[in-house]
Amino acid sequence: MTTQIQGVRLDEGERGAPLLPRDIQTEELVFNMGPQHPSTHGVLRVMLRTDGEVVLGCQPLVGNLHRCCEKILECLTYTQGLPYVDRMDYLGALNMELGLVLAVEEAAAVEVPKRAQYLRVILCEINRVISHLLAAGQFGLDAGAFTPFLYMFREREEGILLLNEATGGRLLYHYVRYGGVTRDVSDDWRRRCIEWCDTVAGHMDEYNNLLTYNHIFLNRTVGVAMIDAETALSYGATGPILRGAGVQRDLRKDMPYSSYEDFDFEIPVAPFEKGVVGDSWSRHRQRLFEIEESLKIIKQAVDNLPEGETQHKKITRGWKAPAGEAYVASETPRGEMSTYFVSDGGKSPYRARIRGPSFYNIALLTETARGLLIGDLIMLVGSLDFTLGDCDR
Amino acid sequence: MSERWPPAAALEEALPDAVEEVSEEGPHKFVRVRADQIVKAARILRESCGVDMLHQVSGVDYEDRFEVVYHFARVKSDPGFVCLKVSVPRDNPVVPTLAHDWATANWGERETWDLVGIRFEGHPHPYRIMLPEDWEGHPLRKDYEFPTDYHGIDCTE
Amino acid sequence: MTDATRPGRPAYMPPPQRFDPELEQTILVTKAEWLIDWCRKSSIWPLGFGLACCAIEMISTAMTRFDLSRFGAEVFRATPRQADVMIVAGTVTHKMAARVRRLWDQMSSPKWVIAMGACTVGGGPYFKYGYHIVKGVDKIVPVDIYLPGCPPRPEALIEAIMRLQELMHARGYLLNGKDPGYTPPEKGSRQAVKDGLSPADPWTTEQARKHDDKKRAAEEEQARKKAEAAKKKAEDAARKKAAEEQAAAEEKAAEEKAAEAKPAAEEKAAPAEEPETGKPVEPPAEPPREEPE
Repeated sequence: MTTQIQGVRLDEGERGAPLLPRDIQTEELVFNMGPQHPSTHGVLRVMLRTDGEVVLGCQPLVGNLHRCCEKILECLTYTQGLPYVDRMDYLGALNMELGLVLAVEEAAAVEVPKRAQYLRVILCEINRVISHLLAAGQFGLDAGAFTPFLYMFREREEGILLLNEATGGRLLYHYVRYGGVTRDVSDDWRRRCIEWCDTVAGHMDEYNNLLTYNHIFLNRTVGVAMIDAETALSYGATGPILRGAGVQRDLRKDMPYSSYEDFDFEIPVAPFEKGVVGDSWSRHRQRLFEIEESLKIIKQAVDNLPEGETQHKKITRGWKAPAGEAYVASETPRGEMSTYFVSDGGKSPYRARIRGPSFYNIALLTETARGLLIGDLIMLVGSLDFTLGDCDR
Repeated sequence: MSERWPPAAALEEALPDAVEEVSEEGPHKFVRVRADQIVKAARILRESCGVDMLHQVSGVDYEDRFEVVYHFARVKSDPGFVCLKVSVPRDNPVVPTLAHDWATANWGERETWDLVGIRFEGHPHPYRIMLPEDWEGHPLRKDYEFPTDYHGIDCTE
Repeated sequence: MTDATRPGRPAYMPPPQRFDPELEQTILVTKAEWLIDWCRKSSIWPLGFGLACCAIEMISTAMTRFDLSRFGAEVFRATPRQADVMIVAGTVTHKMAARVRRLWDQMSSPKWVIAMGACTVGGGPYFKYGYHIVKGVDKIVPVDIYLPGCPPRPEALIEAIMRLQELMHARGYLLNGKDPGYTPPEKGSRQAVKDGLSPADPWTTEQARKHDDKKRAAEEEQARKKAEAAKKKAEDAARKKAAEEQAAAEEKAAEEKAAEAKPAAEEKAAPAEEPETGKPVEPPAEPPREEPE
């Protein structure tokens, strides 16, 4: 339990050099990085066992935001249960909605009109961009940089205005429904959407100069909190973590859904221009590259938006899915989300088991936090970019 | 499809007595294996079917049985999902754990124990994860009664 | 801006004008209480307690578009010991409930709580089937401002902060904030007046007691009078009844007499017109009726 460090005697003649005693005795400390903490991205509780500043063991305790979504989905009807899926990953709400809706549509063999599929893609990608802007800004905030957070929020608010106009909500949208989407968008909205894409693309250099290539930020994140591909795969971690570790995996390309195969975009995978494969900087850089790719997708989709309906005609309010099962996975800003959906023909799903990506991303903390300093642990937590609503559901 | 679904073929070849049911109809294909052979079945999937990652562990409560549904993912080659199902009786739901081979199962099985009540034998940390430690009952069971009181806080309204 | 606890009295008291206008621009004359409340409301430091989706809207409110720092609430403290208001933003679960209470206990008075979002107001969308949700954070901590919405827009959170500022002025706490652990003082006492629980024009306990005695005496007087009047009414009714009975008895006696006199009159066979054209028997005069007061 106690360790002994030999006292260090610094060179004589060095001004102001303190002379430390020969033997320093230390003890391990077990304490709590509690649910209320400015850097834990929500109500994550982490029990730490440290030797000074070095973390020896880490046990995340989740469940502080367990909102019983799966039980509620079983109790309420199909249409009534849709808003609860928004609230799971509240930063990428449209992507979560899409995940559940795709599974139900596959089990029920519902065809979605092409216009609705493109609209889903456009709004999900806008959602992805604003989620990554917040994540990147929050990561900088954890490192102590307040200004990039404000700058990224400037574009985030503009994007939120677009989503607000199209869907009616700022953060939680209820837009994707079984068989399509609720509303259509106007041509003026499309024009403004492309303008917004150009604005964000023009500001990427600013973000990179402020944060990504910042000397202090590089010192804090390059080579810090390494997660290699094997660890990530064994823990089920997906999304920017896996791509920052060098694994080419993106469900939008590998198992395309909702017309993603019509668009031309790349998947940025580490190594990048600086940093090491699997470190925090690579994950952060991967998110910024992903923003640029998403902007490309949005522009292509908006330019080529086909005519048609926005929702399948036969899907009405009291719709029930026929008996069946389905398992569909989709790519949210945080990782891969999937739904195992079982229906017995009743008015509500028999079982809607939703895989939140953050649940498995947080499990990574148990292994990867060992040996880090507490400051580096904060960088790890920020670079994993999880949302507790997603983890606890 | 004249060819058999490769995971089903591999499992039937290696563990012929463990495979109880294979369903290849519909959008969701699965193989039902016996509960005690699940660890070996998962290893065979990893070795011969190119499975890299355990994607999801679910527990489902049917009238007469519990089911644990494992979804495995192929990541590096030929992306896709493989589903294994395990049925256990309602009065004694025990399944051997996959937590020693697949780190995903560590938390996934804890959640299944917490919400559905299926025990996983040999799990290194078999405690509740979502609900508080002193919670009674397993909420995702179909016969769950909603609580009225928790440590003095009224739960009804 | 009047408050229900002090009807007729504005929450914001402008300083009285006593000096000439030029001098007034440099001198502010007011009560110390007003000044302290003004300082307090203009520098509300929230505790950064974001639980769920509403936390994102709280962050948005603190950002440049909606700018909470114009109200002095920019500085989100990480520790509850330095915070004034706890904005509970997000769903509170049973697992988290003890921690919410502990954080509230750690805050120093005066402290306020804004329940932000439908989940904290009454359970929100999880009110029916949410087994792990506390249906309203006012089951755990006393709430000053309820802010519904799912999530409420940043403008709504700004309105909640502004209402909290009004509340700070209206209650006018000098030293102690509202602490629900204390027993409320008796009605009419000076402490109750200080806490804003009693009407604005206070009496001392003695004066209140005298007023109560007087009131009680007046009520007793009225009750007594009512009892007397009721008694009188009952007596009158009894008398009337007796008189009626007597009249009925006399009638009956008269009839019997007439019945006896008839055969006698028939025997006589005298002209029967006279007794027939006799005056009808007048009923006896009714005694004068006294109306009850």
